[in-house]
Amino acid sequence: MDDLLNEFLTETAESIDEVDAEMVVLEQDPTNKPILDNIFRLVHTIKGTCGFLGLPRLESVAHAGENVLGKYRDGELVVTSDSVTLILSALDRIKEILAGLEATQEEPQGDDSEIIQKLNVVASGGSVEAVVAAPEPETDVIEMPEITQSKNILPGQVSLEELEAAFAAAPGPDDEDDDDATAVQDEGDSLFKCIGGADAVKVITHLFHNRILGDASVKNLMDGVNTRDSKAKMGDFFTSYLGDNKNSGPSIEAAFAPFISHNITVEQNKTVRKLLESVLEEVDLSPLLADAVLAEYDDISDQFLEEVSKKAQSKKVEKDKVAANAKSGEPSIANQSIRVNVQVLEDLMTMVSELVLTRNQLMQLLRNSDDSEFSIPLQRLSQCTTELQEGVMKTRMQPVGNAWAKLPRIIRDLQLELGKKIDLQMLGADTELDRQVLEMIKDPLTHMVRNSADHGIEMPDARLAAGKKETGTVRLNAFHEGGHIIIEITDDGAGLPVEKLKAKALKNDLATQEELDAMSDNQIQRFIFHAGFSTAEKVTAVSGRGVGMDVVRSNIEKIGGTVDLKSIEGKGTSFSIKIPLTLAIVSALIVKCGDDRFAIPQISVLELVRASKDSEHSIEHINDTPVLRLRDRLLPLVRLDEILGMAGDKSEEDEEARKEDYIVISQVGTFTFGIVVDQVFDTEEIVVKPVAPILKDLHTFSGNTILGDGKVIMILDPNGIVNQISDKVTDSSGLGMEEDVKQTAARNDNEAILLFRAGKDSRRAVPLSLVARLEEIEVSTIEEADGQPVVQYRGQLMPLLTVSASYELKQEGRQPVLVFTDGDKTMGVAVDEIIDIMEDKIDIELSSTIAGQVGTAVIDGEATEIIDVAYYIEKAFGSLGSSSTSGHTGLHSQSNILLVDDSKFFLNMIKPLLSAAGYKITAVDSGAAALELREQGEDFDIIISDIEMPDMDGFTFAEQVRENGIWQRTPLIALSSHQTPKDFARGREVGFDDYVVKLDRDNLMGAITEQIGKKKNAA
Amino acid sequence: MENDNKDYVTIRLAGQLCGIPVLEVHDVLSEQTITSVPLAPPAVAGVLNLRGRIVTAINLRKRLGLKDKESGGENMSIVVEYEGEPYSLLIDGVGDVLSFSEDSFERNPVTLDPCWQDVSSGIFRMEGELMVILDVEKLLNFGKTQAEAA
Repeated sequence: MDDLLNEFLTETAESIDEVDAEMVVLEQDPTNKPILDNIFRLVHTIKGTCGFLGLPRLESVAHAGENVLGKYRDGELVVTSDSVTLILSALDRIKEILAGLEATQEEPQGDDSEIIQKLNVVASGGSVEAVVAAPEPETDVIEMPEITQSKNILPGQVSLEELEAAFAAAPGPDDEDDDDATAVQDEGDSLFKCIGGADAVKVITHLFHNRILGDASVKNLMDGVNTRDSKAKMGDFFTSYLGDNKNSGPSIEAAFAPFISHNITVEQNKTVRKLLESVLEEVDLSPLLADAVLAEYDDISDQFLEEVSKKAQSKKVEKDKVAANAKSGEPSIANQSIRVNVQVLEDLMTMVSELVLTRNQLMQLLRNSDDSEFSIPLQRLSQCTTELQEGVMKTRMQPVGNAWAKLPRIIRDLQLELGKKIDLQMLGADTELDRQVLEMIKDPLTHMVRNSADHGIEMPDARLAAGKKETGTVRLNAFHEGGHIIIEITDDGAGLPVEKLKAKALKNDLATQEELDAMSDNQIQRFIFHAGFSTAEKVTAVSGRGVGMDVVRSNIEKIGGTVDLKSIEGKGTSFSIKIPLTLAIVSALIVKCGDDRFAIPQISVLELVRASKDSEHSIEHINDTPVLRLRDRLLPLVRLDEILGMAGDKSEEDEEARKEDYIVISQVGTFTFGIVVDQVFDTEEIVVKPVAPILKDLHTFSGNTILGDGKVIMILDPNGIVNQISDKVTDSSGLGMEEDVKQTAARNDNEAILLFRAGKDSRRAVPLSLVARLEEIEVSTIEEADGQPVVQYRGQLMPLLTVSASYELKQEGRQPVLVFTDGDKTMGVAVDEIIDIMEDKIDIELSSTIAGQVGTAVIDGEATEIIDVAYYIEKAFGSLGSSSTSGHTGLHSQSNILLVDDSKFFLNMIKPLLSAAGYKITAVDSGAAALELREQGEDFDIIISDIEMPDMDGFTFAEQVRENGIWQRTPLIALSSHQTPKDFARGREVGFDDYVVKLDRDNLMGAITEQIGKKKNAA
Repeated sequence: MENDNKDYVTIRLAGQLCGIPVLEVHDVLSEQTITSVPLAPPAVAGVLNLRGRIVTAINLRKRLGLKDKESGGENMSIVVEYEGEPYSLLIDGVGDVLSFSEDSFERNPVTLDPCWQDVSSGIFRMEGELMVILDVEKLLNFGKTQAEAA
């Protein structure tokens, strides 16, 4: 009976989970009949099967729960939160028993009388509170009246003993089954009663179906059939047919439709009959009874076989019709999927991993030999392997919703326990990720959601007092982003209290007062990822035991993921988890250090930089600490040979002699740093294999792998490296400081400016961030298309523009070109000479009347024309903009404008434009950053926001601005490349005052003038 | 212990004859390319690829506190398994499989180097030579404790 028990356990566990979730839904929507029916059906099945398998504890608990559900269904009881809690606790008890059953194959000992009694009191109309006061011993209900009933059966067909044996563990009929029971009792001698009633029939049909599906010669009978429906139909049929009520149930044609539609043959029927026989044997039906059932089956099968032969006659005519019917009849999802043991998949994955390795080795061999006859078959093998790998990966993919299934219940329980009102929203539940990854994040996720609900969301009255909705929201959002899964957990609760965290950090000696003072709020909030840091004032049963976010963080980092948080005190907290899609096979960069090669997972590699004395990048030293200047940032560097303790015997001369270094820029969380290596090879798909236990303590490595050439190499773990170096820097999250500081600095308007000269005119400048690349183009390669100079650049035609009409391209030699890109468009502006790059503030002092120029600013003590990149882009791609900004200049000076756009390009393009028109501009790159400014109390005359932004789009941003705070009345202009009427309407709906299409400068200027004018008038 | 005679694979290590129970030996390898693992305990020579399996190589000389081998001569290793993980023990050479009877078994002399005491489960007397029995479990367990201490 082991198979039977196992099947029961899997199925019941699934059902219980489903009931768990549905109960919560039901509680919110007590009148939802389909859900109630479904719950009832599930619990009923559980009860029935338990009874059949002889599991009295389970059965009695399920039975008592079912009683209550039955009352709900009949409308005799109203669904209340208390009774739902009670049923949920009964489900918990069932889970406990199931767990015991799974472990020991036997029902564990225990006393369920209390919970059963409570359930019975509720079922009989009492309240849960009354249970304690009036413990009416109604337990009789769950006793098994059947056994007495079975004595009534006339001993016509079978002996009483046999019946007793068959019934020993049969379930008791419950209240709502009473009608059936009496009906059956009237014909007490029916075969139906003898084999054990509806539940037994259900089990038999279930097993019968499974057998048919498991037998190769007959399983095609079930092709395309929804087994669940078929089971139900066949069950109903047997119930009525064997119950001497032959005509009340479905007809033979309906019940055996799958057989008939698949034209069951006499041979197949024999097999089916045998299967039925074995099922009857398995359920311990006495031989006598089994024979009786089989006799009935023979009658039935004769009928449907006849039906088949009849059909075969008329079939030729109706062939097409039948085929169509069969197809459209019952499209089944259930039958298209099979249950596979996870271990099988794991083994499969391991084998595929091996295959990938071998493939890599073969490909390596192939590369080394030229023109081998193996090359074509090997290519094919390689392709098949890749596809196989993808296929197997797919089998391991599961929707992330599986990890969320328990959350509604948890939130519900929390609401009751804590007296809060919480709305749990789950978005992107169908996002798929690897089973292994899913398992690993399940617990951290649950913990975080709990945290959000417990610590994050305030009590209803506190929320109301803070001007928020009474019901707090916890939102889960999962989505794909570039080979990773991002899961966000956002709550609109109290946020992380910075002051409290500071105090706690001080208390726990995590930082000194000075260090704390120097930290940004965000850095302080990241302290919660430290061990022993719980912000809940009270330790509740739910959270606050001090094992918290540090465990979450280490769990997530274990699978190569990162976790970050954003929190605004009083507004809420948002965690974002970034995890790789799969763990087993990753793409990795192979680097060399000393004589050894190492793999660095591609996920943590941002870019590669070659540094040498004579190139633009070189390693500089501050007190022997190597650093790298990369664009406008200073990155800390670590030497891989030092980290790995391999640098020991190197002399100074060696260092001197070293001509070039390769630097792998990698990112861990928000911390970016460079790893200096000797050489960089290519990237390779590697199979991560765990290291031997003896090496487990080396956190520098996350595993090892076998390369294409058969050599074993170690996989570096950037997390581990950071941890190693951060011993010196106290904490890795503290390293994020540099970035935060930079962001603030960016707001101070100092910009990197590229200075260049073109023609005889004065010096010109453009914000460096707008320039994609600087190129020198051989003049001879410049071609002409449509009367315009163009050049082939990176496989595309790039239009070449001149700064002004009078400027002429060089006739020979190389032409320096500034390359600008916008999306997938690329264009170049030809210049004479690039002078310098410097940091300064662009303060337009004279706005320009010449098209293509924003105005003149003093940069480095010299008047410099700032060119208007938007103009050139428009000139190259769009219809030529006729506008200049002059018309708007000078008006409304000192009006403050807040510009929100995630695209640095647009920010930088619009900023000079607006400042040329005399506005004071503050630019931020996200809605969240803008709202932060609001929190700081900064006021603006007008807010211009992009619509398409990551994290928080323009619509959401507008809603938040309009919801509360000091900007409620500030004019809002939407800036978007979308321009359908629907977008306009939506924009107005959420609170935008105007909607302007990107690149339409005249309109933008007009809109700004109009809105500011309106505001002034209103004031 | 029912069987009087026990079979051992004999190995040479810095001149000393040692034996490992034949049933524990999975493979005998000739010279292999070993990838060294930086930061690993000194007794770990590195990792190698054995038919698609990654095997951790243990430098037995280091493990037993012997001097490093002078270069030259062939490098052999034998593969054993400990707690489901394969390990390759680097040795100087492999000899015959010998069978010993209980009669010739001796306990470790108390004066034996503690390092050897730890890993040896006894000694067999042979004609003209003594063979030290190496206990694989104790040999590899050491690496673990050392790694933990590190």
